[in-house]
Amino acid sequence: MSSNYDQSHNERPRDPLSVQLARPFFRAVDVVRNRIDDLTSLANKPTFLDQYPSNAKPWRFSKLYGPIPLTAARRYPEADDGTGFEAFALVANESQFYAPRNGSIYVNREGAWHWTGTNVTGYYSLTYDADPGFDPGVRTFINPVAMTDIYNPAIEQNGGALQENYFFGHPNYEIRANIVWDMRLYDRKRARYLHDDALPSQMLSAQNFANKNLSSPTRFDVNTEIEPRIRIQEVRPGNLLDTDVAYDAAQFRAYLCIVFHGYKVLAP
Amino acid sequence: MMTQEEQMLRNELVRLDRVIGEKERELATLLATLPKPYSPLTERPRRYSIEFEFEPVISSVDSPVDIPEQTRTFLVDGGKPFRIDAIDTSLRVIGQAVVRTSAGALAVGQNCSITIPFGRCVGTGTGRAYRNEYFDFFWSLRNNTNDRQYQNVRQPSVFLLSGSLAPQVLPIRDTLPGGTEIALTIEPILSFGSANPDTGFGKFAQIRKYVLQVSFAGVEVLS
Repeated sequence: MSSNYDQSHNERPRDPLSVQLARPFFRAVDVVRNRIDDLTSLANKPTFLDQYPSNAKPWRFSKLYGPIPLTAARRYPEADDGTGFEAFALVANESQFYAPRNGSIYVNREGAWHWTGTNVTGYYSLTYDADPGFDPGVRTFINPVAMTDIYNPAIEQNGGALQENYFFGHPNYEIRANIVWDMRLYDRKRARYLHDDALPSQMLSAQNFANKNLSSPTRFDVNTEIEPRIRIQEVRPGNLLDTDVAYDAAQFRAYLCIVFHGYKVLAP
Repeated sequence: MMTQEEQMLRNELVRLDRVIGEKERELATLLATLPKPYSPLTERPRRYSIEFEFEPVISSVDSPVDIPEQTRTFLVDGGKPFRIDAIDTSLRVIGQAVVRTSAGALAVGQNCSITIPFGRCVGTGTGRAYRNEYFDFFWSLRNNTNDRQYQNVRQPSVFLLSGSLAPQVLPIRDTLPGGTEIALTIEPILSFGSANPDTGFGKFAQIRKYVLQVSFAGVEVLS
C-alpha cells in the first residue's frame, strides 16, 4: 500500500503521482470518493425543509408607529427664528428609535416566513387644543375624518386625522406634509441588527408608493422576532390646512405604517 | 485471491456505493418538491370580483358619523382550483353632474359616474382631488374555508394596490381548491359626501354612491 495514503484517518491521497502509481483499485476508490464529494456538497447547501415551498400562503405584517409628535425630532438651533413652525428645521435624536406599537415581526411556530418586499404609508393627526378661531368645517381639513387610533377609529370632537401619501422627503414640504425617517431591522432573539446601516425610507417604497421588492426572498425561521426600528429625522406638518392658520393651536402627530410582504411556508 | 488490502478496498467500495445510493435518494426527494413548470395548456385566466357600495356621509367634526363596515365573499367555482396571482382595485363614484346654465350659474344636472384612479388624483392644479381624501378605508382578507388570514392587522387602503395603478401582486401564488370562500372586509374611515355643489370634486355636484370593486386575478387550474 502506498505510504502516503494513510487509511487510518480516512484521508484522500494528496500526491497525484501516488494515485497514478497505485493499483486500479485506488483509482476506483478515488473516483467514487469524488462522486460522493459532489453529492455531499449538493446536499450540504443550506437546505431547509421549506426551501422548495409546496404549501405556501401569502402573509403580510403591518407595523404601525406612532403617535410621533413634532417634538420627536430636535430642532437645529440656528434655524429657529421663532416665526412659526415652517421655520423650524428638525433633526432626529439618534439615540431614540420607535418600535412598532403593535409588536415586532414574530414568526410563529406555524412555519418559516419569507420576506419579499415592503411598502409604506403615513397618517397625520391634527387636534386643536383650543378654539382655533375659525370654523373647522368639513373641507377645512384635507382629510376631514376624525379618529384617534387608525386601527380602532374613534371619532371625537375637535379632532382630525390626515392621511398624506407623499410624506417622505418631498421637496415641496410647504404643500405636502412629510416625515423623514429610516429603519433598522433588529433581531431580538439573537440581539443583533440584520444589516450594517439604516435603510432610508426610499428603500422601502417604490415610486408613487408601489411595492418595493427584494431581489430574493429573505427567510426567517420559526420563533424569530424581528423588531423594525425607525428613527425619525424630521417631521413637518406642511400646509395641511387650506387656510393660513398657525399650527401652534394644534397638536400634530404623525403615524407611520410599514407593511412587510411575504409568505409563510406551512407543513406540506 | 485478493490480498487483505484489496479486500479492505473492496469493502470500502461497497460501503461507498451504499452511501451513493443514499445521497441520490436524498437528492431525488429534494427535487420532487420543486414546483412544477408553468404550463399554459393546463391553466386558464380567471378573475373573481367583489363589489362594495357605500353611501357618502355628510359629516363634520361637530357631528361625526360612524360608517359601518361591510364583508363580502366570493366562492371559487367547484371542481377547479383557482390560483390568485394579484389583487386589482378601482373606485367608482356615482352622483349628479354639475351643469352650467346659460346664465353661467352652476346647477345639479343628470346622473353620471366616474372611475377614480385608485392611487392618483383627479384633476390638476388646485382642483385636484385625491382618492383618499374622499373615500378611505381599512381592509382585511380572509380565507373562510381554512380559517386563515392574509395579514396580521387591518391594512390601509393604499396597500390594496401597488403605487398608482399597478395591481397588488401577491408574493406567492395562492392556490385555492374549488369551493373555497374568500372574504374581504372593508371598514371605511372616510366616505365624503356633501350636499353643496361647490364642494363636490371634478364634475360632481352630489356624490350619491361609492362603488369599490376588488378583483382577484389569477388562473383556473384545469388539470
